[in-house]
Amino acid sequence: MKRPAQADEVGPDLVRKASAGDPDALRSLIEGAYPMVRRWALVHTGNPADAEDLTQDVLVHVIQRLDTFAGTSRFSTWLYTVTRNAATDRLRRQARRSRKMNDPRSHVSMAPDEAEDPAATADRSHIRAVIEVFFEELPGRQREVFELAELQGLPSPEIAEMLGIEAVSVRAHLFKARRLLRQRILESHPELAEEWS
Amino acid sequence: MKACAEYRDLILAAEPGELRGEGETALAVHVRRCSSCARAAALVLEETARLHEYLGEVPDFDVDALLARTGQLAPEHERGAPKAPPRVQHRFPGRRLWVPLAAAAALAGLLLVRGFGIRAPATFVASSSPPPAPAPVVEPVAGQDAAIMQTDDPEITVVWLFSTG
Repeated sequence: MKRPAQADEVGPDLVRKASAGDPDALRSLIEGAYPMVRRWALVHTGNPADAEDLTQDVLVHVIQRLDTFAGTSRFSTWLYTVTRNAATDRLRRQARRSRKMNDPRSHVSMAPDEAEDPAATADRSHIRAVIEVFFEELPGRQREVFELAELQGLPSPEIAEMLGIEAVSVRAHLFKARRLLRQRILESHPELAEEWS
Repeated sequence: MKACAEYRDLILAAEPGELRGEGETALAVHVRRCSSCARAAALVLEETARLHEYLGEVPDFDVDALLARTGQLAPEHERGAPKAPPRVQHRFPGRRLWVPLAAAAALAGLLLVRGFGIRAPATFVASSSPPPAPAPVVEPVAGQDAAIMQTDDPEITVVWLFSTG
């Protein structure tokens, strides 16, 4: 069973209590952080199984190293940095292993269910195409920015802080990501393909 | 008025609100009037929303297992177990030690006074064998037991009450 992610911000009070050793606060913090981390992990890895492993790694790190959060930035910013660093390490390890074993990895596991009805399959093929473009055609930085800005609705200055770049760069990445993704969306619809290709 | 082709280029970069026809920008106004561009804008919004939904789907999460794994929570089988009963706090904690000692001292004193004419310990109340002589009735209280020893003097019986706790 899946449930939608909740974008609830983990508040500073909760972080303080959890950091001070309050077990209930720690539990609430981890429960609140999980949907965010899982989502970011999927954006970085492009693979649900890898995303789940990465999420566990990040949450273990959070539990064990919460005291390293200085509180000078938002908790979500710190959490995003932890997730990003863990994802980078993981991708580096995978790339090394993949070079050794010449193992092509599938990024998006959305094999259509045989029992699914045709309308659902058609719908799924559309979203599958969009997801493939998102993970395979968008460069990593554009993917991150698009997800944070367009999908989660975070303002450019906050994204700039999370990614350690200028706000103007955030807008530039968003502009490029929107163009590419929307172009592919419109091309994937036969009724519009002639007009848009 | 611009041709649709030019608006379509704007659709690729527009803010979501403009795609919904909100506001008074040239694109928003056009989307409200042109069904073809409105359809394209709606498709972009719809597919983006689906991508948002896909990324936001998360499997069920066992926070307890993770906390247990990191040592922040006892494993489930330990958490469900009943707690051990609390240790009984004795009102006089030293009693367990000094009562038998006092009894032993009393017995030693008696032996010194009466000599060593004690027969072998004959009867324990807990024992199943019946006492030989007229047995005194001794009912130790809970947590105690008694040892009864006959001496050579039929009028003297040593009764030793001691704690079993």
